[in-house]
Amino acid sequence: MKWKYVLKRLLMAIPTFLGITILAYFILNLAPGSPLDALLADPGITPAELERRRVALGLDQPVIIQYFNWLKLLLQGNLGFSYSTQRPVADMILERLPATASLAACSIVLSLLVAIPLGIYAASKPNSKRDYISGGISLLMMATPNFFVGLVFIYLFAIVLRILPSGGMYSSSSVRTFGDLARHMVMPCLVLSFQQIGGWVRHMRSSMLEVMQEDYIRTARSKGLKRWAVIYRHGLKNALIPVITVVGMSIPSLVGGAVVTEQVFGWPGIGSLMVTAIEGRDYPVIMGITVMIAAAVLIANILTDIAYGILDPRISYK
Amino acid sequence: MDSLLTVRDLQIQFQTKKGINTAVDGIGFSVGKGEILGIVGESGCGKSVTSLSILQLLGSNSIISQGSIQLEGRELLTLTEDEMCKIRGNEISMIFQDPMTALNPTMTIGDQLMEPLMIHQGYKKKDAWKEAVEVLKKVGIAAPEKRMKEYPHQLSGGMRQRVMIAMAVSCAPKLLIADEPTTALDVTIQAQILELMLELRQKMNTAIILITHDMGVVAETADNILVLYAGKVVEYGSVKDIFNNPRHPYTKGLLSSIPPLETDVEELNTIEGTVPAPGHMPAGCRFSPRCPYAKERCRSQQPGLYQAGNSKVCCFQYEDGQR
Repeated sequence: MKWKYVLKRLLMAIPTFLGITILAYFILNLAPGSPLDALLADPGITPAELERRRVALGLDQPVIIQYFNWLKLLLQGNLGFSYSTQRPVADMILERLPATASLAACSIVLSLLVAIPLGIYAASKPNSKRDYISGGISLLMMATPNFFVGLVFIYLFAIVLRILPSGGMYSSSSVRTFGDLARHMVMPCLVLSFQQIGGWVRHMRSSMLEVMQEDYIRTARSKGLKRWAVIYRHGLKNALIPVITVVGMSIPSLVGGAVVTEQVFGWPGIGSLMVTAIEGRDYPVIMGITVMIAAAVLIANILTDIAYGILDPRISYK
Repeated sequence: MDSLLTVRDLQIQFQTKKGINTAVDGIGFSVGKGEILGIVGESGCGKSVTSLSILQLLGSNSIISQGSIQLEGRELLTLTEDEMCKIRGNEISMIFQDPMTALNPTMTIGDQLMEPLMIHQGYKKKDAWKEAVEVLKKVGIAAPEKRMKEYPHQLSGGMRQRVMIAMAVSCAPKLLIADEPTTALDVTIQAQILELMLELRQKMNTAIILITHDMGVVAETADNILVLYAGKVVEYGSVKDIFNNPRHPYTKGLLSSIPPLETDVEELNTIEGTVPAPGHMPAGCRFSPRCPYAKERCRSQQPGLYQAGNSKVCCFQYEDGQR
């Protein structure tokens, strides 16, 4: 039954997905600039040559035809070729994906591990010193922009303390050890988690506080359960239900590449690919990444709903 | 009857933004082994607060500012939180008004039922399961094994209240506090739940404090009645005595506002006025603004609890002990 539900949800996602691609494609073509702009930098280029390239890329045709040509390729599993490197877009994304995915996974795990206990801790004594301190810290974390945290971290850990590399994924392309990767990942992962932790702590706290007012918490106490047993056995699972949505919604933005963080740390992920592609008006690459992010949003939505069902037995999937 | 629970001069205060409110002021009563005490009164009279204070389940904005609560001679108010945990659900347990919200929606009935058995009786999971099934049978739940694996939302309101009762009596407590256990249920189920509680009292000799605003429920089940008004005891005595011969004007008002079954009435009797708001208590008798017999003295001076027949009444009319 659960598989049938997933299948149904996937089918329902198809029109949404098509809608996203249409909007993205047309907005992209409305934006100023053209993929041919890069060629203009060459002073020796002739108008005839420019025209020849325009036709070769299919840019002489109406946008609507271009879109359907692109869609036809997509349905064959082909994301097209990059205007600037002439390489298949799918290959370009796939070689960047592991960097982004590993960073995203680390950041989610780290944020959950920090935010959930901290949120519970803050909620365990509302309006106490511990609540105000954790509230203040998480507000500060939420309000600090990523690039700033990144720069402070680089200054602190790479320049002053010299314990972590300032950027990149590996020290050199020849040595690719896990330890080296881990050392490079520490800072981007911390930076990426920074704002997220702040937000999630607030969510966890308020959700926990709400749950602790419920009648069944009083019932649990009346049974003779100790305070922390009441919180963990009866409060936690119920408090996690609304937090799941927030966590689920952050997955796509992480998978889509944390653009700023990747730029600051020179992390070779989707985010930095996106920035390069936008600068060069590399439409196929931009569309390819858009398609990937759209898919991530839709899948994350479905995963969130499934997680709901696991946490809350009142929800059934039919 | 041996006294099981003795409450003396209990005062409970709430810290609010406007200052300190006294919700319960000088309440005292005792419950004997196997006895059923009905606590009656309007909303806000301090019934629930009193019952929650026995298990010290009140929120952090409240304090028990004076008084004593003794279980078989042992003072509960000076116990630590850990010691209180050993009493809750084991020696004294509680069931609540709304079974729809009183059970954890994300835990199976079985897991919730096994908890007190495992905490207090030291049962291992397997034995706790068997015992929990037995308790479910005892409270009249059909197919208990199946129900153990179900979640609260799969059960009807009446069944959930049965589960609540099963959970409360699983460790054979000496005292069961039932805070309006039937208010949220429909009438036919109400009768069944009351019957079940009486039956358990018979079998297990559990004393029950039954909190309700329904005089009919008290008449059917209780041995003694404690009538509360605005945080104070108004009248305290046996059911027979109070129903046959209500003394306090408030108790009289409560009883006369029950519509008679035999005759048609044009209009229901009501007690004029409303309960005074906390923080705005009258200087004298708290019922005096609504009392048809109130005299000058009632408005300025607080009456004590006077013995009248076998009851205790908080009204100047009974100051001399007669009537």
